[in-house]
Amino acid sequence: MQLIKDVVNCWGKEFKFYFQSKMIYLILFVYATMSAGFVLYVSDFYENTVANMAQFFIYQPGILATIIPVLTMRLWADEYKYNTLELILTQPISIAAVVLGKFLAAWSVAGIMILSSGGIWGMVAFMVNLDNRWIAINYLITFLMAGSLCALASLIAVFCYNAIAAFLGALALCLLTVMANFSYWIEKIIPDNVILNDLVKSFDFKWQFENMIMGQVGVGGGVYFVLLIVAALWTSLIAVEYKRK
Amino acid sequence: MLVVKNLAKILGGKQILHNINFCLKKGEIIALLGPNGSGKTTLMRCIIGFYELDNGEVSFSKNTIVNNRKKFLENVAYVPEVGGIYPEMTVFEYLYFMAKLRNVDNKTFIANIRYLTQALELESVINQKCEILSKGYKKRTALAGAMIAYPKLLILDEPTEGLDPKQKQHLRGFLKNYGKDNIVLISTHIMEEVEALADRVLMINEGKLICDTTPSEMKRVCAENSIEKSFCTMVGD
Repeated sequence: MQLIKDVVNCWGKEFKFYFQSKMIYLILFVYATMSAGFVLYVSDFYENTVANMAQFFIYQPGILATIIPVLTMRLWADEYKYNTLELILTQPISIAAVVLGKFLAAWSVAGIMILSSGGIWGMVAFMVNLDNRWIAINYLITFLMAGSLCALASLIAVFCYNAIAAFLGALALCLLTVMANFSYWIEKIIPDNVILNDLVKSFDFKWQFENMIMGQVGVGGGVYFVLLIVAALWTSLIAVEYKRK
Repeated sequence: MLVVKNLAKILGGKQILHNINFCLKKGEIIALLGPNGSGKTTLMRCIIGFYELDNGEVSFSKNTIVNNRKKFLENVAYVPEVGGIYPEMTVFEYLYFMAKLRNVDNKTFIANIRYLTQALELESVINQKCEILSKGYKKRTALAGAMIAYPKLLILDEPTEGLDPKQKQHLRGFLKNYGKDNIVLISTHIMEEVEALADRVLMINEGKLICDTTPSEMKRVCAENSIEKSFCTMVGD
């Protein structure tokens, strides 16, 4: 119970900071523009015979991998810059609460950012008959995927004393995670080994996400993203603890 | 009572603190002295649990950072030499945040903030953002934040640095009063502060505790009867 209270306090502080800066509105605008741009122009929305939201969701890993590092870059860099790290880490709260609070703040803002694309949903729903329940589930899947990117970007932020370094490091890690197409290479090298192919495929970020939004919502995909979040947060916690040494 | 036993710390492969031992009792104001780079800040960071110890133990009322982190930190507060406040927050928001972290209920918070803002003369800036405050106000805001739950052990790194003479005098009076029922450990280079405030002096040089005495005893080390001269004699200058 106390841990939840501490996490909420840390989350509240970070979440408020996001909206004290005008930068956040620019980030929301860039995200909405990128999402709309990819749906309408890159995926040839108007020429497509099937009007649905798949084109929107398919580009989300790439767009979020580019934007989420902007959200997480100052999570820890500001603590170093303002000499508040020793302040926050010597309060009677657990270090896990600090790590979790910061991550949840970034994830909440990512959630608001994803919701800000609701206009695209409205536009498509106006033109065709959509399965809105399914679209809502896809939004939740995208939110979960964004959480895993936030956790990875937060992990990089722990190591960086400078916000720009945190941004570049997180951008590299997030893009690598999204673009790493292990199954493609494994299929090229060992084409006949189905078991190995399936195993390697299960580590593919994009494959897991696309499978889920295409309707194969199994436990596997959800577990993959949750495990990624837990692993990144756990490593962040160890990294912060290590800094005390 | 704060007990520091066999404390040792290695940073970047270099031994910064060697086998430090001392006890601090309630009602004492202790000045921590030492030349630059002697390990004062590292010692303070070890006491508050920011650094993990390589050897030894720090306990307050039998609680250590290892066996009961929460209980230990509830009793201890630290104000670093620079920073230690969130520039985006207003003074009120900062104090409220610190109170929440220290589990202070709203009723106690209102009483404490009323007293602290008055005692530290922060009333006029309570709704101002910390980033636009002058150095003196920032320092006092950080101090008010550390004191919001009235910790039994208050550790201050250069508390009067950046304050004007009037503010210095006011703060010294405030700390003197607070030190009557609590423990106040101050790191300083200002010898007049040691004379004005401290009941006891701990001196470190090259990571070793070389002296644990009173300011009046320390003065006697040199013929001129001056703390400053004694300090220089003791660190070998």
